[in-house]
Amino acid sequence: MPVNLNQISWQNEGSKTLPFTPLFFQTLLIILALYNIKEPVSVTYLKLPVAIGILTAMFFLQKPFHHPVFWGLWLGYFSILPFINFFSAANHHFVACYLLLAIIQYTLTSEKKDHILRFHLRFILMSVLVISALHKLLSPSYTNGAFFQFEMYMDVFLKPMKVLVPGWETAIQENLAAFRQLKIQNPNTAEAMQLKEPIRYASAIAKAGSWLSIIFEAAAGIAIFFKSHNRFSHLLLLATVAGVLFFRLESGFLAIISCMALALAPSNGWKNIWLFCFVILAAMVATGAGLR
Amino acid sequence: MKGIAVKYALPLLIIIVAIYQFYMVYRHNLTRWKGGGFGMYSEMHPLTREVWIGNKDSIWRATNPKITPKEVPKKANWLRYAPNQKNILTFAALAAEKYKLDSLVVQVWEPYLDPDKNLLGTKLIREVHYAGKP
Repeated sequence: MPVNLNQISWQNEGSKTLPFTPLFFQTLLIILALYNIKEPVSVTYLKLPVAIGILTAMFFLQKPFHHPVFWGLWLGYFSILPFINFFSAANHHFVACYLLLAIIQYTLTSEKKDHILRFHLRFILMSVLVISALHKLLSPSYTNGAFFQFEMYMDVFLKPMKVLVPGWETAIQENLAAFRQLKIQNPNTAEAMQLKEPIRYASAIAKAGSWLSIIFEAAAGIAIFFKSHNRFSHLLLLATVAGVLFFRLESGFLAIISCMALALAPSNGWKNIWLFCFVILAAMVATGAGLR
Repeated sequence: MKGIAVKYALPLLIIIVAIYQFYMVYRHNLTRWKGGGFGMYSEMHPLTREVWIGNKDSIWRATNPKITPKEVPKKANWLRYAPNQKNILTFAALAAEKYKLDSLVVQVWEPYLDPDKNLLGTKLIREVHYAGKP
């Protein structure tokens, strides 16, 4: 059946309370497709049949984005990994499953209940951010800054600093070499190794970064759940997204967050901001400039 | 009633997963990175940990596939994710069988950074001396 753009419902339909739902569906589809392509731990032999199934459903189903079967296919695929090994799936994998469940529930009802989808999106966002902040708060190596500093020294956190701070790259390379050496030495006799600070006051920066992460993640999660219409909530969430991106380039996960924020955007301006964020983050995932 | 179920079933699922993860973290030493994933980037990644196997004469890394039988590194990885007493005993039994040793020691080490002195060392987080039975 040839594609008739006029028949594609999401091109024309929105709703009063969730006017950006069509864009939400569209952006979510893009990031899930990228995830399917990029994710190395997923069930590799299923990637091709899933891609064919999804594309077939997309072109042959009438109003595919409003069809539970379309999203059900995605959920079936994304559920396999947690079922096979619950302990190997990453956070964004679980978040994708929650989102798909919310959308299936939304598309299953004849009268689309926007307020329930909105509630689910807010809850997913809040739980992801607040529970993550809680884990950080309860982790001694996080609150004393040791974890942050270690990741900073091992080229995981604050990668953009390489271009901003002279000598950063050299210090990181030396630290990585020291860590490689430490890993192969008998730990019962190995002596601690002196690492090199890539920047002065690295310890204080790490502590400040750790606590700012906890505060911003928790505040953004709570604000977006209770006041998702408020521009300040979105500003807080945007600051969190920007901070996380600067700290650790976790573009895939942040792209999913941007999708949800887009659906909850309080105005056209905020829709455009979240859409632009999504474009950058999805492009980073697609090109390998960021993490999937 | 149906309306309540429709609205709260998904949040309930998320809460159950989160509680289960906390339970696994505090009861079974599961890394915060896994089992729901809420705690990613809140502590050292489990793959920075190293599992060492030793006997009277020497000690070697279990996760080095070049010197260990095929199944051992895979099982050692699981021990890195959840270094609890049950897992380390299971792993020790497997390692004893694969290396054909009567007794051995298994240790799990984690890197530790002293934030103020910039000193990177390792700390022992789990150890078992295995001699056919614990």
